[in-house]
Amino acid sequence: MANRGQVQRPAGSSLQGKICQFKLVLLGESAVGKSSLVLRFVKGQFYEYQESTIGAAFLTQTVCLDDITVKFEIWDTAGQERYHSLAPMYYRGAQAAIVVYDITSQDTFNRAKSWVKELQRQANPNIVIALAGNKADLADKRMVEFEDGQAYADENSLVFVETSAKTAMNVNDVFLTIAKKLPKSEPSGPSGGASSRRLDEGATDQASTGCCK
Amino acid sequence: MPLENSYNSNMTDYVEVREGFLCPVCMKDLVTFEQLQTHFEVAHNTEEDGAAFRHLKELLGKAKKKILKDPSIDSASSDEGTNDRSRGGATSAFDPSAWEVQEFGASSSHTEYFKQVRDSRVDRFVVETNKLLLRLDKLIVADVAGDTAKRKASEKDIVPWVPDQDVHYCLICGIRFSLVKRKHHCRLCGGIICSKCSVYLPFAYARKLTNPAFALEEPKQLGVSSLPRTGSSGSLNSMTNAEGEQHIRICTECRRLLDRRDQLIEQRTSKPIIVQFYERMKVAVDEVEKGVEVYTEMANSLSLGETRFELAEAQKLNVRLAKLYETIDVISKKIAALNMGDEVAPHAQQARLQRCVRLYAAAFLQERGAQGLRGWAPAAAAVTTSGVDVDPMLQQMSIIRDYIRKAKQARRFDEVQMLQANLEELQVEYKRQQRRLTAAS
Repeated sequence: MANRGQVQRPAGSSLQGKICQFKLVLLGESAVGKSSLVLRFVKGQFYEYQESTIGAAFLTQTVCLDDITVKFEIWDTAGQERYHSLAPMYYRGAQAAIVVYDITSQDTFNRAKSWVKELQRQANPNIVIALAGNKADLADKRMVEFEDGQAYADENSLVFVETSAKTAMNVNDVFLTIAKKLPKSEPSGPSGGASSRRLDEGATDQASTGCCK
Repeated sequence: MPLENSYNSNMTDYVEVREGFLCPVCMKDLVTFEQLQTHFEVAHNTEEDGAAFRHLKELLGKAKKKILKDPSIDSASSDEGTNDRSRGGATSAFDPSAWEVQEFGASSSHTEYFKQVRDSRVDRFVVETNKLLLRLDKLIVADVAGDTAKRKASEKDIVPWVPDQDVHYCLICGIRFSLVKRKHHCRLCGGIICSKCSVYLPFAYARKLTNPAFALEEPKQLGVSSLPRTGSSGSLNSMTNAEGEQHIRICTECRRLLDRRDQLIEQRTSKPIIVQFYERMKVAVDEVEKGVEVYTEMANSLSLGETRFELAEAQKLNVRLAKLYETIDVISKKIAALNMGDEVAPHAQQARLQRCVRLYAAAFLQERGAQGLRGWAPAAAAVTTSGVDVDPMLQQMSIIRDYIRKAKQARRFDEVQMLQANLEELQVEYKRQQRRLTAAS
């Protein structure tokens, strides 16, 4: 029981074979490709005419890092203004957020910036935020330069990446990068980490911080 | 078959082989069946011919039926028919080898006979081997080491030796004994053999056979020691070998029986590596079967809002299940890869077995909802009543309820829990919102 299934893992790490679960929320102006991005990540599919999301869609996906498994509980929120009131419900308990904009529209970039501000003000202080400039395949219609995105991300210490749900460019990478950045070890401070659920033996305390010890 | 045979055997009796509608009595060719029938009724209408006629009629009737039924004759649809045509024209249609597949004639099963022979053989071997083992047990227990004469006497006491003067040829290879070809007694059957047809049986090996538990305590390399001829004092060196280990001389026949028993014990006690893997996998599979049942109950109970189970307990079980799924996956992959990289590829049957085990495991994992470690997205809602006037909060609640239903269907209980938690949050938030609204108004 103790050693089966873990033969190939290096011994000595207490993280061995742990499954960590994180809540991730997608935010951004409508029609920037949030749902497409998630659908590409979860199912590997892409629809040219993705229907507009109502409320918040829910998906899960698991990624394997070296010796831990990270399960993402993904909330893909609707970009339409009328659903804005729902967003706080989802980003409040989230450990990670991807703010998406469309590189062919300056407006969506501005909207992304305001989302980042909102997150910084109201979300969990330790939330890992990624800024994703989607539709990178439409380079000839580009309105937001890569450098602009990068500069803004650097200022606010965000993960920055340009993606394309259509060509699958950088889609898995952004989730993997987030998975790596998420605190998987017991945080030193009491406020550190987030309320991620630790799916492991002895994880009786629901409100406990951090993921795996 | 009987028709064809009777024809052939009849024909061989004649010097000249004739074909056609021959009268069996006068050998006249009557060209058609009808003519033959009338001829027979008219010309040979006597008592003794009657029986022959009936027989003939029967035969021809059968032949006629057969010919009419045979598809190769009137149509070239079957391969057989076309082949025949190209070979020898219309006459080949009557070639017995081209006729349809005949029904089985009388058959008798030899299985019973085979079993009888085999059983008696197995019985004989078992009885014989048991007898040898009983003797062997006495021989190794008899503690008379050191005293050659005493030992010999006790050996002879346990197993009656065939008198020297009765035997002139080796029981096994048939060589004639002489001054240089010495006689040796097998200590187990008492028979006389030559040195080449005898081997030394180490006591350790003997003990392993008479008491299999002994072998487990002392897993030593046991085998036949080669037979170096050291002097002529057979009885002396039949006691100990070069390393001082005790052993006795036995004939190769007895050795064969003992080896067979040894193999049998080995087969029973040791399992091939694939079986060991499979058993470990099966344990995990059984555990999953039980665990999933409990987990389903827990998840259902939890989603109904009951307090019979703790959420943490369900999660713990979920992690356990995830680990078991991983175990099954890993072991089945190992089984599938067993010996695959070796220089000698495994036997086709073996490879097939390995592949089947892996397929079984994969199917099991898929069926049991081991997708817990893969992504999940609910299918799009069939109809979303996106009325503009509906409160987004209420709308979202109905969406979540739909997701919960779908997650339950997909047995994604982890997801059910996440969604359940979200639904509760939404409900709390909605109530707060309503309270604020009523307070404001």
